[in-house]
Amino acid sequence: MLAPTSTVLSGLHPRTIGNTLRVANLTAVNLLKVKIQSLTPPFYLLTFCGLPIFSLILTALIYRENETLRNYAVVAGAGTSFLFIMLFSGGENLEGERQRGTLASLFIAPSSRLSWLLGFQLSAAYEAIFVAIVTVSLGVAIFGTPVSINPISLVVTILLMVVCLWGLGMVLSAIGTAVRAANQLSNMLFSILTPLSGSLFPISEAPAWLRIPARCLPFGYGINALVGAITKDASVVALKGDLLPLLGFAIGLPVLGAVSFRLLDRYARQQGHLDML
Amino acid sequence: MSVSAISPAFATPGARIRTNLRATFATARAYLFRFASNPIQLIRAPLSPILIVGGFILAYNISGQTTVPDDQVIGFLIVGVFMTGCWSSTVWGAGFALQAERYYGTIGAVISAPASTLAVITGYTLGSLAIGIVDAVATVIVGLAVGGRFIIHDLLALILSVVAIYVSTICIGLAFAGLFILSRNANSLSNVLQTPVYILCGFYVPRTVLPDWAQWIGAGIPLTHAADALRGASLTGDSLGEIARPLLLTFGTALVFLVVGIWALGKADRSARSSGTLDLL
Repeated sequence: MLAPTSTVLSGLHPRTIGNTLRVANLTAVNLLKVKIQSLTPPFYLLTFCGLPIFSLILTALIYRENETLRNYAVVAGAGTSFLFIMLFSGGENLEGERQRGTLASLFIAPSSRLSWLLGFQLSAAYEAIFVAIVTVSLGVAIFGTPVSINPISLVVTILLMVVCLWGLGMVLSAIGTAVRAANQLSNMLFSILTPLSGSLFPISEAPAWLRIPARCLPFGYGINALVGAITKDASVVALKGDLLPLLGFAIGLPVLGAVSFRLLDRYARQQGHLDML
Repeated sequence: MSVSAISPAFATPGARIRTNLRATFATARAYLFRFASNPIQLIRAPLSPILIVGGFILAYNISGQTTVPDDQVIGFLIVGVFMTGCWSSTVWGAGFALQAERYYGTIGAVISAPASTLAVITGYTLGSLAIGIVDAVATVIVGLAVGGRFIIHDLLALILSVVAIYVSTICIGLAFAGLFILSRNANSLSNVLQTPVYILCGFYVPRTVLPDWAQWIGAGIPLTHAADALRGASLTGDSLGEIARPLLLTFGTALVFLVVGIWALGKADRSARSSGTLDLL
């Protein structure tokens, strides 16, 4: 007796953690290769390093007479790289798949959604970490920002931020893909999130009407924790005021992201126009 | 019997100009219709400049700066955001004109059409600038609501300053358009060029805080002088005579960009036709 197709397929492509991670890593590396090759390495470096560096220079010039804020701006610039790259890469990658006509194939591929979604965000995380290192290094070299790194706090903060941004990125990817406007949605949301994220100034210094909604988002906590971990050698305990809320977001947002993507999957199958531009 | 090979639309210089003008306005109209059909763009267009100016106002306030040299911070930044809108309109409008046509698969038709490619690019730019005007008005209204002050004694000076900004951004856009045709990295180039221009032209920080070499580079960009003229006319009540020098510098440097733009577009057109790779994304 022949085994059901689903059993055969599941036998060939077991959705184990190992396979999921393998597919995720392959996806991430492949995405990076495609991006670098399509832009060519010089343009790739110019785009992904140039943007945050010039933004950092602009912010540092505004704070030219305030050393504390200037040092904050250097690390916040690195945090903003995480925010921008990771939050919007999922939607951008899905839009790119749609434009190439491969989006539907991606959805019906036997590998789990999680694997390639994770791959998208992994590629973004690799990019974001690289850009953050370049930004902070240049900030130290140009503006003399003092650096005193607590490696454990730094790793914990980055991990929590990556998980938060992965979850939120999936929500935005789902919405952007459904409305076929991932790029425009990204650009609009980035304008809204910039003053709420702590990328221009510490949220604690913002007026109350801005501070309250900013505290409902993970970014301000993440960037503040990054500043403490990189410039003040702050321990995990010392940063608990930022890391605990960030942990809460890191638990809730991936769940929300998974639900959003499941809804997108159902919507796409019902409507049948996933590949339509 | 001889058959005229020249269409009446291009038979005389006057007819050619009229045809190209029709192509320009048709392109602008199509651009505006496409824009108006996208709800996200409609929301984003006025919202972005308001959020940008709000963020920078807060940054200045938090750092304890309420004035920049000679100007109130809010007024200074509103002019900067207005300039940003003009820059974005032309770089994204003109620079992306043919990139957009390439994406739609119609660039071959646009290049080979009898109407001038420059007319099509100018149409995209005008459409984009029209949207930018709405954004600028929204930003000014919000700026006034949060305490921005404008001192205008010479309305003609103000009008000419604004005209100078649009003329200079159109000329810069045309100069970049040719580059963007030949480069498939137009998106990356536009993104990367934005912030350096904002810094060099003094949109958000006064140019006096920049090192000398950066100020010299900024002096070669028409928007720098246009910004000086507009700030003088709108924030300190300068007369036309007082802003004559920056206005002349604006038009002079804009002319250079215009010449470069016409040359670059012609070269790009010839290169695209000879290589036959224009349609390849």
